[in-house]
Amino acid sequence: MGRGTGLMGKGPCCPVWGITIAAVLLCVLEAACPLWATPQSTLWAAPKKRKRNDTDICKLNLKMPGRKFEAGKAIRVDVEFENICLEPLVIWSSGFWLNHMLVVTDVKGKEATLTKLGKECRSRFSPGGARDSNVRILVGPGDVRLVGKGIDLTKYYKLDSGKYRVQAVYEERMAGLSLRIVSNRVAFDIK
Amino acid sequence: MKNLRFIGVGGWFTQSVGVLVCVALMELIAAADTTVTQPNPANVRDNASAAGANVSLSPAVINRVGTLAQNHLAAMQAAYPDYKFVYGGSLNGNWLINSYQARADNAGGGASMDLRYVRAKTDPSLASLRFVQVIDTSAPINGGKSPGVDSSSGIVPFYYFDDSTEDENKDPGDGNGMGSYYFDDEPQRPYPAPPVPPAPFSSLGWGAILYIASYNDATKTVTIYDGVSWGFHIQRF
Repeated sequence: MGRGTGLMGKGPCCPVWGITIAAVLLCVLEAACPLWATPQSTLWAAPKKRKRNDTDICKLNLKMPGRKFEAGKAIRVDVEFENICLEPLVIWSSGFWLNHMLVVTDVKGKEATLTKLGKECRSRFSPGGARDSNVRILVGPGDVRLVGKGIDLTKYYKLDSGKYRVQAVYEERMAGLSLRIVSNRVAFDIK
Repeated sequence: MKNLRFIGVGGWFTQSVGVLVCVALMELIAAADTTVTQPNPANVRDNASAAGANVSLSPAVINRVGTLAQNHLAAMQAAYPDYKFVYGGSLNGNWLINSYQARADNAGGGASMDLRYVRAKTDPSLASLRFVQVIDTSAPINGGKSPGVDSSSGIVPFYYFDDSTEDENKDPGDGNGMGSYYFDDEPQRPYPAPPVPPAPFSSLGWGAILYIASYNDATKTVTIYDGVSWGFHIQRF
């Protein structure tokens, strides 16, 4: 006990010593480290939030027969879930547009213009929102479940000649279960 | 004596026929309506609370509905004018309720209900059976009407909208080979806005009647039979 008290008063564990060492270290760091010169807002800014994508649990497959289409003709895609984990997966069927989104962009990533129906469907997208028919669907391990068949992109987007890309998104928060999956991206041309 | 014997034989014969007719009539009367089998109490949750709101089942017990309300028929016909809707009276199967539960989380609340309609021998074929659900709510979604037909496709008036979903929810081997038809729904609503004093609470109601129906594809005729009513009520304090 006596030895300990002595050390606290005279040795390197003395508070005065500690404060001195900390101050010296701070001075050295301040002089040497250019990071201190960086504006605080940049230094401490939160990393850009990346949107969640649960592709380790499940795959959302976007399928398009063909890649070249004529302007004015239907461009159809299928959307399916593929459970790639060892547990059954719960997805919710409540009408495609309430928890699914199809996004068509040009090659620069700018979203194509939605039609009136496209805007209407987009406004319905509401993960965790109000639902009437809302069916819990179990997709078994390794199973594939078709959720959107033959969806004609031209009904939802004004698509002129050009190069485009399309992706599907599923997002839902229901009964304590939360899932967000982004599909593969498919490129296509309209001539 | 002969007459007496004749009368006696006749009496025996008449009585037997009478008994048989009575039995047949009783069976017909007994089988005239669908029946409801309530769920195991372990699968019922009357109330759930979260985020200052309370969700309760409404009605608390799932009841059989033996008629088709005129406003429901009108809602079906208005929403799907290409189809013809008629009322077909009562079927004879059993609504076997599996679970009926109130649900609440921080964002909203609702109810979950699942059942099997176990077909009776006298019912239309399993292949032709469909579910048609009509919703009465104080908070319709997507600018919908109330009462309104609950169809996530908006293309057909049926609860399940494609053949593969229909097929996977029908079990031909169930119910002693009569077949059964599975229904599952978990509707929900965000909580209503907080109450404005002096009102002690704000509320929201969602009720549905799930009808069993048969569909004739050739004539696009939907015959509506019995139903069951279920739903939930939300109070926010």
